[in-house]
Amino acid sequence: MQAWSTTFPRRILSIIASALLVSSPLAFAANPTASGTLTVTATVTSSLALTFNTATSGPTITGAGSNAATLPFGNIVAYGTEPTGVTLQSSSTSLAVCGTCFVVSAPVSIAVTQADGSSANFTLTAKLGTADTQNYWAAGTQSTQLSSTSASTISASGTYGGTGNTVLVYLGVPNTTVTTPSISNTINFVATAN
Amino acid sequence: MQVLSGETLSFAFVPLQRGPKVMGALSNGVMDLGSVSYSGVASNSGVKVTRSRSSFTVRAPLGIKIGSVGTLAGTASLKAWLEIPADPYQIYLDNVLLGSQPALVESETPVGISHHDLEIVIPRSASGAEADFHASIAFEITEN
Repeated sequence: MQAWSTTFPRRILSIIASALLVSSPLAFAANPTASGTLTVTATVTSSLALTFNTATSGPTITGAGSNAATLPFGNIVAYGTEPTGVTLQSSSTSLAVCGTCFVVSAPVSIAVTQADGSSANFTLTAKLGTADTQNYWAAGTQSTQLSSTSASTISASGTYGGTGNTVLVYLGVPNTTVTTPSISNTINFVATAN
Repeated sequence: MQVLSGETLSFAFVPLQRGPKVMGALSNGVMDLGSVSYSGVASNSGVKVTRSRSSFTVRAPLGIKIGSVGTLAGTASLKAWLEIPADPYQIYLDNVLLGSQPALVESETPVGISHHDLEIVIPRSASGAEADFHASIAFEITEN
């Protein structure tokens, strides 16, 4: 009896304490929460990247690995030795722009890579940045003349990848030119996924 | 675009001056990142694109406003997860990769407006031609 009388109050206290804990929202309620939902949308479009590199056996270009490069022909001559990487195509030929001209060519490597697209190949076109009424410009083949008014197709099925596509750039200079000033122009190449 | 829970804690998306627009109503915000591509630039202001060899990342800042009634200061834990899988894309919030399970983004987000960085990693080989990206991100804040 003595033992019961001492443990009974403790059980009562324990039950009362438990009841208080259960009934108290502060004791067991989770911390306040709030929520929201964000919908994010975007349209992923395929894209092409074009970069120039020095072609095998071609002149060393500046700006290699970028999409803005310079291809130096150096000091070209109708009769004699051309700079490294430059090939004399003809010492004297008849072309519409320059009449009787000598024509040299130099290769450049054009790499086109594709992202998030599924086209098998691409079309490469080229256009002169500035009209040239004295000298003859061509790319791809000597007969593919470039103009500043419309783009010419250089390749209808270019190959994607970092290896690049070798494109020959042709320059025809009149044989009648006595003193030849520095010749320069910009060729804008555009690759379009097929 | 604001949710009240027990009238003590609120959550809302807020537009940031340097970020893209966030539209929507009540608990649903909508952020349109516009047109993005590996080689191009993002069409929408506030959206930035960075590139790596095999993927590109679209970044946009996101503003979240946490309100706590009767409390001028305090913090809340911020969790986020994807309601639907986003493969092959990867979505990060504050550099935390989000998946189907709630992930702790910030354990002590201050009450008020906080700035967060949303990143979407898009593989270069993600899709065929044009593809629509769509993700639904769930957020939950719990008062500390």
